[in-house]
Amino acid sequence: MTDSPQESVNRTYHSSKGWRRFFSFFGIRSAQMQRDRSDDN
Amino acid sequence: MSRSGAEDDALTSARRMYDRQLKELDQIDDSALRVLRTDIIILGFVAAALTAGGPDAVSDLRLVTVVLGYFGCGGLVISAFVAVGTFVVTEYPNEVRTEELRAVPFLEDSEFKNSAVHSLRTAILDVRLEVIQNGRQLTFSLVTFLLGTVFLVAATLMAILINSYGFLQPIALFAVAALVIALGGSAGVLGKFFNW
Repeated sequence: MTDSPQESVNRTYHSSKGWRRFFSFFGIRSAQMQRDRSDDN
Repeated sequence: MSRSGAEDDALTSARRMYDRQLKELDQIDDSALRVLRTDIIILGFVAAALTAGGPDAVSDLRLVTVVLGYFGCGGLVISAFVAVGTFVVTEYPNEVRTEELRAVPFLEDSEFKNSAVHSLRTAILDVRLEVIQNGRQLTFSLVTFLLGTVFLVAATLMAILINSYGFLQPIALFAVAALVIALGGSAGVLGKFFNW
């Protein structure tokens, strides 16, 4: 179903970092992004 | 069962579990895209109706009808945005790490299996958390979709009651509110009756 996911070293992403940051600005985050954010705070 | 057989079994079942979690994640993303498609179709119908109604299509409506329609379309737009976001932010760990693949020539069979089981175990936990997170976002998208649809239906009923049947605005508003509450209530009663 997913259209050509991108693979990084150890993780698979559905889209580029820019788009993920854009949606993160509106509070739509993946579980990993949520964890990274909690660690930063 | 020999140690090697147990390691093989552990690796196979860990892989199966990882695949199952990924399938679940895919299904959630698929559902998000289906919600998005439905949102766009309904918004397209609204746009087509307003365009076909001519320049006075909106100004002929009472303010309360326009406000209800605005909330309806707003709900659908938010639902569509969250649905796209749910798909776009999805990420999950790969089954095998590149470091492990690089180390394969230097590892014993048993060492590789152990390390693969270990990374699969952390990957399964990661994907599980992603499934929960995407599930939450999909639920939000579905709820805003439902609310948007209810507001749009209410706006349509208001327009019909006021413009076609000449109802007074407060009476039409009361009738629509009563109808929406009655529909919600009957869904609750039916739910209890059929034990949903």
